[in-house]
Amino acid sequence: MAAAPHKEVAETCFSYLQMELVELVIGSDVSSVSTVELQRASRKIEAVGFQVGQRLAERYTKDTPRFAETIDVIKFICKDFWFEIYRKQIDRLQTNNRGVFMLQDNRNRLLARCSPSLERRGNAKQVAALYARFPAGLIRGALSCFNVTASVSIEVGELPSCEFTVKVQESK
Amino acid sequence: MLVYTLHIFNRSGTCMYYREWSRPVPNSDLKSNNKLMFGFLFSLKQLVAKISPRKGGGFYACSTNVFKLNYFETPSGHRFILCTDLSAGDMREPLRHIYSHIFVECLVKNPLWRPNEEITNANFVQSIEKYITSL
Repeated sequence: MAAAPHKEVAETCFSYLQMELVELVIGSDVSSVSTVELQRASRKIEAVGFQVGQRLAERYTKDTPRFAETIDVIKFICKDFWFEIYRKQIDRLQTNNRGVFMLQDNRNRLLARCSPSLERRGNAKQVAALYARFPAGLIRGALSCFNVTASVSIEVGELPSCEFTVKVQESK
Repeated sequence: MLVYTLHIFNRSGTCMYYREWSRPVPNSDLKSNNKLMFGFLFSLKQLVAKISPRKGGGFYACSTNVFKLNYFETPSGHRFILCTDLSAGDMREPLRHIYSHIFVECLVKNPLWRPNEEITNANFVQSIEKYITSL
């Protein structure tokens, strides 16, 4: 099993699939979408990410030992998990040592390519945030796979970068 | 070498992008000129195919005594037209670069762009600007 070749999937294919997922969830007319609809859409996309994250985490940890602390789980997500999915690690990890972690990704592949046309400039940021919802779901799903219940919120600043704030709920 | 204009047409003949640089005589009626341009290219392509002694091939440039028109067509039917002065060499490679490195990267992979819509995306416009000035 050790010499199994590394399986690859086209990055563009993954990006396009995610783009169409967002498209599908918000419906056809992006420019006139309301805040309520955006919220509903972001919940749906997050749920998809959650499912995917949960399964992926299971798959990527099949050969690793158990994690001792929550911070180890977070570190795993920042390094190996992110690398498996995006071929890069999370750029910055901060914590207040009380269950809040900030994961900063400075160059998310999809967000880096978001450049709105003039007519869409108005709500471009909210729509772009939808593309960060999927990775946010991935994080939450992976955490839940390791029995860490958390909420993940996102903040999209300057466009190619986004920040995920993970709030761990004390339930263990 | 001076670059005068760049047109991008889609398959159905709509002009998706037009930009001009250092063009001495202003383009008076943009809409009808674009139409003329597309019609000319369309007929020229047919003519070239008809009179060609052998199968295959197509035209990639034509010139007058004032300017040179460089043409590049993608398999998907997008047409890139770069008008330059006569000192320009073979522009097929730069046009291919515009298509594969700027059009595909900045638009096709951009979640906020829809196929066939008019191009106003900042990312694309800046990349084109940068590349054309580097020529």
